[in-house]
Formats: sequence, C-alpha cells, structure tokens
Amino acid sequence: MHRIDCPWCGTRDEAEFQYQGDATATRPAPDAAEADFFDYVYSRDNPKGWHIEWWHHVGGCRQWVKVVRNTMTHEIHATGGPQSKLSVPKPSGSRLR
Amino acid sequence: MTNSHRMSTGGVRIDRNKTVMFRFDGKTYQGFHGDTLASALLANGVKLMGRSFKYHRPRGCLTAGSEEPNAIVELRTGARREPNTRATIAELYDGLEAHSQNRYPSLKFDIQSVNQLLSPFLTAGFYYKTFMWPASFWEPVYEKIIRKSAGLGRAAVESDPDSYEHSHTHCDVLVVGAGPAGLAAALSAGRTGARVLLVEEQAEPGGMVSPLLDVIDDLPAADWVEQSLANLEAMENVTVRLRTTLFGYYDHNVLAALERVSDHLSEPEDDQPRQRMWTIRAKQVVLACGSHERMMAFDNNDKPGVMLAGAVRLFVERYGVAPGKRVVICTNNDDAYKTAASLKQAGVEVTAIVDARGELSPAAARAREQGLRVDSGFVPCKAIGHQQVSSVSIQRRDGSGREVLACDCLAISGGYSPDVHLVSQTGVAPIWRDDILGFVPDMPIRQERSSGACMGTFDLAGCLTEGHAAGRDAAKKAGVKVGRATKAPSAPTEELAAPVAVWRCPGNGKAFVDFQNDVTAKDIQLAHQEGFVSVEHVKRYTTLGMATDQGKTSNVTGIALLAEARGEPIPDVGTTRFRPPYSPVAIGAFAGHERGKEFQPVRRTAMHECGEKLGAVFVEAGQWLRPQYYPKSGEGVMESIYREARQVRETAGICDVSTLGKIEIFGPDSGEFLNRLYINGWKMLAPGKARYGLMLREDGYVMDDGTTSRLADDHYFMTTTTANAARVLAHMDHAAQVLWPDLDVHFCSATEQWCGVAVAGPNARKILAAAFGSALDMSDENLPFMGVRSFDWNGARARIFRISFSGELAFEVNVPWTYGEAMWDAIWEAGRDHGLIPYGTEALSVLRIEKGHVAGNELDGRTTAADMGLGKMMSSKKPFIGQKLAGREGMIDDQRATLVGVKLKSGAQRLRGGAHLVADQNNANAETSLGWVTSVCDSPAVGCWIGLAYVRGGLAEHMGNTLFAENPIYAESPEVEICSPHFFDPKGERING
Amino acid sequence: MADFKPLHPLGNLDELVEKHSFFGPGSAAITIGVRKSVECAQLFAGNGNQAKIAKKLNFDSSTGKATETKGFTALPIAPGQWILISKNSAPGFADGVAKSINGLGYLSQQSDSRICLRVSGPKARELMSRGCRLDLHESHSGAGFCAQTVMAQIGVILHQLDDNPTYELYLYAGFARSFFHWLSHSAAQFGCDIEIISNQIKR
Repeated sequence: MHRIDCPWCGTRDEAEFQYQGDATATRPAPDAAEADFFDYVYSRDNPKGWHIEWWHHVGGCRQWVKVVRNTMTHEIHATGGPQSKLSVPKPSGSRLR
Repeated sequence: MTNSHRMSTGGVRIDRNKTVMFRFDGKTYQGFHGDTLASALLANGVKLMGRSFKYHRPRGCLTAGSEEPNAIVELRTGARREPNTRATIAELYDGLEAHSQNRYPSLKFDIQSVNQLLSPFLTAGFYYKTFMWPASFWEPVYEKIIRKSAGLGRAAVESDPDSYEHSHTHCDVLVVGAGPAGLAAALSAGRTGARVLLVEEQAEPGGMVSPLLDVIDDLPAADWVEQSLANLEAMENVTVRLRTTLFGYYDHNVLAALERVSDHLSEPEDDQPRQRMWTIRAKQVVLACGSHERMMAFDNNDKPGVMLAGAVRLFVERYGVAPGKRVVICTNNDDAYKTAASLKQAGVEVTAIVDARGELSPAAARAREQGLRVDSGFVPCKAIGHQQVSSVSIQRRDGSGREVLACDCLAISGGYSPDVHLVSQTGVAPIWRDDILGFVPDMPIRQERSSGACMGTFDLAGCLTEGHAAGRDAAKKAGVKVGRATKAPSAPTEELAAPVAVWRCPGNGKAFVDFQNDVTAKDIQLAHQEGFVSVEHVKRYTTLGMATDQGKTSNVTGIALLAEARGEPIPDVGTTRFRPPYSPVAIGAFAGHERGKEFQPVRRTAMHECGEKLGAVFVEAGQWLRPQYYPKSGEGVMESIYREARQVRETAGICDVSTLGKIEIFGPDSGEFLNRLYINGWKMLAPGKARYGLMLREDGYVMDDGTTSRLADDHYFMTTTTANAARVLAHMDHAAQVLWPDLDVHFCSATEQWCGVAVAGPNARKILAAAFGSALDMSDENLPFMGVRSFDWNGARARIFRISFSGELAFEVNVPWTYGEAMWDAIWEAGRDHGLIPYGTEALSVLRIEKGHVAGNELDGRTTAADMGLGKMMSSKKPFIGQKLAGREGMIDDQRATLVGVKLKSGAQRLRGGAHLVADQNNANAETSLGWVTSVCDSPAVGCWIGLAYVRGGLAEHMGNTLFAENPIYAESPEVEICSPHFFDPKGERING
Repeated sequence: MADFKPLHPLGNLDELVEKHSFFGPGSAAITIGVRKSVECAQLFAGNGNQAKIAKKLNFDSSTGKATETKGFTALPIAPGQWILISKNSAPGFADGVAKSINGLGYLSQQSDSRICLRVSGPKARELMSRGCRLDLHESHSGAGFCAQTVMAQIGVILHQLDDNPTYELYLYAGFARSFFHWLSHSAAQFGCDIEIISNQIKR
C-alpha cells in the first residue's frame, strides 16, 4: 500500500486517493488542432520506471496531487500541488531490480 | 493412554493446575491450559493427526509452529467451524472440538489411502496429464473427482457468528518476532524512547530459545524472557502484541498483521472480535522472524512419529510432552544436540544420534562424553512402521554399515532455513550461503534490517548482539536520538560447527520434500527429466511449495534437489518469490466490519422514514436508498408502478429527489467556469432562473446532465444525476485546480445541506400553495417555467425550482436537510384533498420515458450529445470541455445510432430493454443489429409498451419503419414501430398545468 | 399544519439514547456524544485573498490546526477553505462572518449537511484507531489537531478538542446512521455510553 505525501494534508494512505492517470499531458489551447486534443486524451506512454501521475486526494483536501512515482518499485520521489513543476529523477534513482 | 506421554515435570507454557477437556474426532481427551492441540494430542499418545493431500498417507505433526504442513485440522463445529488450521498453533481451551481432515470414513482407516498403490500414476504433473481429454469432461466430471479426493477441510455453511475488525497503528520501530533477537531489538529500541511495536505470532515470547539449557545475562533463558517481557510492557513507548502474525510487508513500509484476539477461547468475550487485522505504518522495521528447520528426504520420512528435532525439543520444554519414549535423532548440524540434551534432561531415552558429518563436531564430542551414542557419518534411509514409526534403518552415506534402530520417535534436523519470507515480499532477493546451507536476505530495499536466525545467525550470543544493534539502528534511522551506547544482553559463546549438505538420503521409495502437497524427491527429478528446468516452472508443475504453508519446511530442499538434477550450484537455481500472506488469513479478517449490511455505507435521505411509513420498497442507487415504488396492499409491482405514473398525470405525486448531486458554486468567474464545463451557455442566464445543462468528457462523449440555477450574479447551484455526483465534483476539481487555476471560482458539495422533493401533476401548484400559504407567491408570474425562488418557511430557508422531468406542471422544493420530514409532512397534508400520491423511481422512469427524456440507461458513456438528440445545444460561440473531440469524424457520422422511440406493435406481449433491433428476424446477429433498446415501459399514457432506443441512422432513416426487437435470452422477437421519442404531449403544453 | 421542526439525521435522539443507553462490558470506557445541531458554514477565500481573510478573521491558515475565535472554531480543510463552526450554535452566524470579510471570500451554508459526533473516554484513542488511518498518538497530534480523512469508508472531518483526548467527527448527514452503527459496534468492546450534547459548546 502506498503512502502519499499530500502537499497540504501530509502523508496519507493510498486509500484516501483516487488515481487519475498521467500528469505529463497538458491540455492544448481551445483553438488547437483536433490531433493535439487526440494526443492529450489518448496518447500515453506506459513507462517502466519513473512517471508523473495525478492522485486526487478525494478523501482529504480534494486537491489534485502530482506524484513522481516509479511504476516498477512504487517508490515516490516527490509530490506537489496541482500547479507544481516536478520532474523525474535522473537514472540510478532506484535500487530495486 | 491418557497423558501417557506427559512428563511429570517441565513445560514452561502449561499450567498443570488447570486441566482442559477437549475432543478430537469425537473422542474426549485431557490437556492443560497452555497446550496447543498438537501438544495435547501428543501428550495423550496420539500421533496420527491427518491424512496427506494426494496419497492420503497417515501423518502426524512435523513441527511445533505455524509452518506445520501435516497436522491440518478443522476446529470447532457448526457456524464456527474453521477448516485447514494447524494443530501446532491452535491453543487448547475447555470444550475445544477438532476433527481431522481429508479422510473417509475415519482417520485410522482411510479408503483413499489406496491412492498410494496408484502412486506410480500420481506423480508430478499427474493432473495435467490425466485429466486432459475430453475437454467437455473438465468441469462436470474431472473437477468433481479432483475436488472430492483432494479436498481439504470443510468451510462452515452457516454465516460466521463472530466479528472481525480492522485497526490502524503507526510506530518508529516495528520488531517482528519475540525470540532472543527480537526481544533484544525491542529492548534496545525501547530504551531510546522510540515508539516500538513488537509482534509475536505465538502466545508467549522466547522463540527457539531453550528455557532451561540456555543462559542469558546469567539467568536461565526462561527467566530472562519473562523479565524482558515485563520490562517491555513497563515502557510506555513500547507495545507488545502476542498471538499476532505479521503476514504482509507492503510498499512504503506499510505492513499487515493478524491478531488472534479470541481464537484461544471457545467464544469471543464481551463484544470482542475473534480476530483483528492491523495495518501498521512503520518508519523502520527489525525482522527477527527466526528460521525453519528442514526435513531430510529419506524413504517414508512422513511416518507419524518422524518430527523435526527442534520441534521435539519445543514439545519437551514448552509443554512437558515427550513425543516418544525412545528417540533416535538424525542430524547434519549441531542444533540437534540441544534436542538431545533437552531429552536427556527430561529423562527420555535417546537411542542414538545419527550425524551425517564424518568428523565429530565439538557438540557431538560432548554428547559422546556424556554417554550418548553418536553414529557419525550416518544418515537415515528408511522409516519403518505401520501407522507410525517403530524403527529406522540408518547407513553410512556410501551405503555401508546398514543398521536398524528401534524408536517411537525419529527427530530429524536437516539444517535451518532462515525465514526470508517477509523480506522477500519487499523485493529483496535471497542469496545462498554455503556455510550455513541456507538463503539469507540481500541488502535491504525498504527501511528494514534482519537480525538473528532469519539473517543466518544461529548462535544465541550472536542473535542477542545482532538484535540489540538492529533495535538501536532502527530507532536512530527513525529519527530518534538514541543516546549513549547500551549493553547488549549476553549469552555464553558457543562454537557451532558447519552443517553438511544432506538432501536425498539413499533409497528408492517415497521420500517426501513438500509434505502438505505430497511432493517427493522423485517428482522433482521427474519434472526435470520432462524438461522443467526453471525453479518457477518446477514449482507449478510439481506444486512444490504451493500449499498453504508456502513450503516453509520444503522449499530449500526442493531447490537443492533441482540443483542436483541440473548439475549446477544452488545459487544458479535461485528461489521462487514469496507473496503475502505469510500464513493463511481468514477472509473474515480481511472483510472486518465490511460484510452483510455493512459491506459498504448506506446513505439515507432525510425523508427516508416518510417513505417507509407509506410502505415504500427501497432500491439501492449507488450507496443511497431510494423509494422504488409504493405498493398498496394486494398490489403487484407493475400495478403499483403504473398506478403511480397514471395518477401523477391525473392529479399529483410527490417524489423524494434528495439524492441528486448538488454543488454550490461561487465567485466572479462562475459563469465562465460553467461555460467551459457545459456544452451550452451560462453567462446570460438571469439570476432566479434555471437551465438544463449537458457536460461532456474531454473525449467528446456525454458525462452527465442536470439543471443548474443562477441564484445571484456570482452564485450558481448545480445539480447532477445521483450516479455521477462524485465524478462530476472530481471533474470540477480538475478543471478548477489543474486546467484553469486563474478562474476565481469556488465550489463545494451541498448534496446533504438540501433535501428535495419533486411535486408533479396538474394539482401541483394548488398543493404547494396550500402548503406554503403566504410564504410564497406560487403564481405563474412570480414563478414561471424554469424560475427559481428562495423563501422563508417557518424560519427555514427554502428554495423552489419550477422544473419538470415528468412533463407535468412540476416543482422541486429544497429545504435544509433536517427539515426534510417536516416539509414532506406539510406537503402531504396539503395534498390530501388534491389526490396527492407518493411515487418512486420506477414511476419517475415511466414518466420520463413517455416524455423521451434520457437517464442513466441512455447515458452509457458511449453516447454523444447528438446521439441523444441534443446536438443543437452545443454552443459554437465558446470553447468547452469535449468540444474538439466531439467533432471527430466518427462522432458526427450520420450512421451513428441515435435516440428514437419504439412502440410495440399489437399482438406482441411485451418489450424488453437490451433487445437488439434488426430488420430481418431470421437474420439477427451482431452484424445485422441496427441498434438496441435502452428503456421500456407499458405506458399508461400512451396505452401500449413503448421504449427508448438507439438506432443507426436514427429517425432520419427509420421513422415509421417496422423493426424486430430481437431478444435471444427470452427467445422473443416482437415487431416494433420506430417513432419520435416524445410519445406524450409532444408540444410540452402540460408543464403549464 | 404539520410540525415544522428540524429532525436530527440520527432520528429522535432521546430514543437513540434510550436504545443504546449502555452497552458492552464493565463500566463505559467510551462515551459517544451526539451534538444536537451544528451551525456551520464553509468559507472560501477568493483568489489571492487567503492571507487577507486569515488576518481579518484572526486565524492562521496553516494546515492541520483548528483556530478558536470568539464566535466560532475554524477548521482548515483545503488551501483557502475552512469549515467555521459557531460556538453557541447561533443560526445565521455566517451572515456576520460574510459581512466582516467584505467580499474577500464566499460562504456556503452547511449547517444541515453534517452531523457531529463526539468521542471521549479513556479508550477514545483506541476506538479511533479502529477506523482512522491517521497517527493520533500524543506525540503526533494534540488538542486542536484537525484533518479530513476517511473512517469506515466514510469521509470525516476530525477535530481533537483536548489531550484527554476528546475527538469530534463531522460527517455528511446521509451517512449518519451507517457511521453511528459502525462506531457504536466498534465501541461495544470497551463499554459505551451515548449522550446528547446541547447546542452550547463548553470548552
């Protein structure tokens, strides 16, 4: 079970959160091409390793929390608010094989 | 035979003043308080405790702990019957009733033990090879045969009368296991002031320490253990939980443990649960879970009376039970000499110690000095006896010097495997150590460290030093100021000579490796011969280590035998992965309170009892309970539903609509925010007016609909469908926080601030005017269609919305939640003279189908606004979520299935939802399907069965056509006419009353 | 004309007390108090006004800590959002607050949306651990601690009143009976008493 550091509430159990998917996709401007919206909605990497995800703290402050998480090891590198700028750590961040 | 094997003294865990009566397979026995079922049976000379899984061979207990593979029994009777429990950890209580499993008709004479004669056919992969053809036999024939013969215990048929609960805790340092290493760790961590939790599976601490032979801090170990426990319990920052098994080590140092609160009692006392499941969040963990002794693989090594040497010692020391009167010990290591010493001290005859090592170790030499017979360089090759062991034949490893030794108990030690189960759950790979012949954990990945026997440290002094250091290290890494170094508990140093590898002893018979799944040494060799090389494949093919004990006593031997077959060193074979739970956990413990009616929370509206009083039948709508219909006495379901629908159109009805999601929206940018959420426009909506809104997901499909009102310039009030309330709120959180944080808009749920009723029908205005009196002007001028008014009603703030789902003159009234009953009663009383009736969700559905209004059945996540006939609502003057992708080619294709009405043609009996519409009833399949029926009713207003449906090409192509509503489940295919979905009052005149 | 009186979401409280007056073994180590009514509102700071509102109303905007003012208790529940609970259950107290913040924020009337249960007694902390995933150890949370979390699958706002400890739990009215059922069931092993707490809050 994950423990996620909500930037507002502090570290909470995964059970309080709803996973909301890829946080690296940015919504295109309203006048952008249909293809851009298509990519925004459907095109997803499925990274083995570090990923940036949304975890909605629905059982707490209701913030959309950005989480840098390793999909292999479940390690969490960093968390931030909905507008935070987070990036994945450089390689060799994990000891798990 | 009563207590024939109980010694006159000894047994640190039993209380000889408290006798306990219990029954096993219907026979009454006597034991002592503190016994386990296994120790009490042994004390009574009962060695036969079960039948094996596949061959139905007689089995006795092999171990004295939770790793037990053989003595698997059913405990208790009736609703409390619990199958597959281990007699070695079942604590005795007065009146305990236990039954052996997997035998018929009796344990001593089991008919299926003829399986042994078939054993040449029951080898590895037997089931895969035998039950292959024909495939049609898999379920009806083979499965039944397999289940019957391989059956374990029987689960109780009645529902469990006991309760289970969950509990949560946090700590700086979690110590797993209260053997010498664990106690030392808990003491050292506790002294730093850290919050320490010590969990121990057994009812008492001490682990494998020998209470009388071992000495710690110059005290007999039993005294030291008792004193340590008292010291720990005296520390406010330390919690000790006995009878608590740590069974899962999960991500982020979250661990799970099962506390057996009442399993040692016949019934839980005083509202206590039977078991309690703990979720533990530990900053640091000290694993001190010990090790598991291994068997040697020799012929008939499963005869009752053949036991692990460590277990024999525990039965003597803990329970004062001599498992035999003449014991032969076979070993490949020094630990078995402790068993010999213990037996000797207790006055049990040790016939011989058969030591596989050619050279005398110091321990062996000491034993010989004390007059014990030590046969060095010998191994056991066959256990002999009918239903239990009566002698053992031994020989040199080269096959010479064969000799038969009489015994009634054969104590075997094939070496110790560090218990790497839990650490392996964290992803740490076990690594092989040749010097101890066991796997130990590699470097930690999580915040944990192993100490003592589970780290491969088997001498007592080493365990204490390591545990002490681990406890301090854990506290320090948890951020506790640990202060000056403290002294570790000490024990006399002992020199342990290295063990020698003994995997398969000479012989051609059945030499068991995995006792619980009946896997023999030959099975492993056979699997290898047949091409199974990977340890994971061999595990699945032979079922080695796949039983409920997860191979605690067998895995290492199995791996070693595979290595031998492959001709490779053990590390190259590797281990299989351990997974939670460490030992079996009852489903009830996982469920906790969440079972039956408490499976999930129930939400009740403020007017729930008003519905109850009027005889409502309730239906679950998500977590909510809603009145579904209000049958009068003698009335059937459909009769009731259609009566309610008819009467709403004739006079008036009242319906509880409190479950609709309600969201209050504030801020100067509220209008802009709604513009971006909904497909239609909101900025021009005047305060005091409501509007129907439809929102899409970003992919262009419809997400939800509802009515939203503007209460003031910067204050809107949104309603959502009952089903989508939570989803819409999350969607809005995303929009406000992630997409457009610059918008000054704020919102929260008000679903339970306001409860609501819909009052619909020609008499609705009259009724509400009578109910509200002078509090509200109900005139058309003051409250026009889609108008919203706030008013004070007897000191409560109320809101009224003139909106209609039924197509009748209708209003929705909201009052604060706690006034719900009062409001209902007031309207009910006012409606008495105007034919007011209550109506439920079914009648509501009939009314909306007659009007062609979409609901959940039509909003299935695959429909566009245009599919629902609402394409024109999509504004082109502003951007909104889903706009772009709703314009995709496939989304605007005129061949999409769009909303139509269907009318059952006369002659047919009824229409059913889910039917597929086809043009040719003789050619109905997935390709020829033109669409499907979503909602149906036998409309009182239209006078026949009608329905809503999606049809390719919609009304433009099919208006007036006749299609077939194909329903292969009921073998029906009635003719229907395609028509407008606005069946009733298509001009919408009735909303004016 | 029917009686136009509010009804607690747990129903008639006198009957509730009667029904549950005492259950469990020995003497009650838990008391569950049911607040008769809760006068409360949710306050949102307008964009950029969070600090200004906190200053104006004299409470700090930090997380996890309740602020007591003269008229109400403020429980921070999200960035720029507080639940304000009137101390003397004064109806319409939110209007006064709205006036004093003068357009810096917005108030949503929530007095009916939630019920308040008070958990006290020597075993209060242990009872809370049966459902609460938060660390309520005294080293971690003391008087004034507050948090939004989930207990028994139901969202709650938790407020620790004192170091005894005493907790108040606010939860949505629709869940009232379900939650009360779970709480009283879990409390039975400790011995549990039910009491009604009048509107005047004594702190």
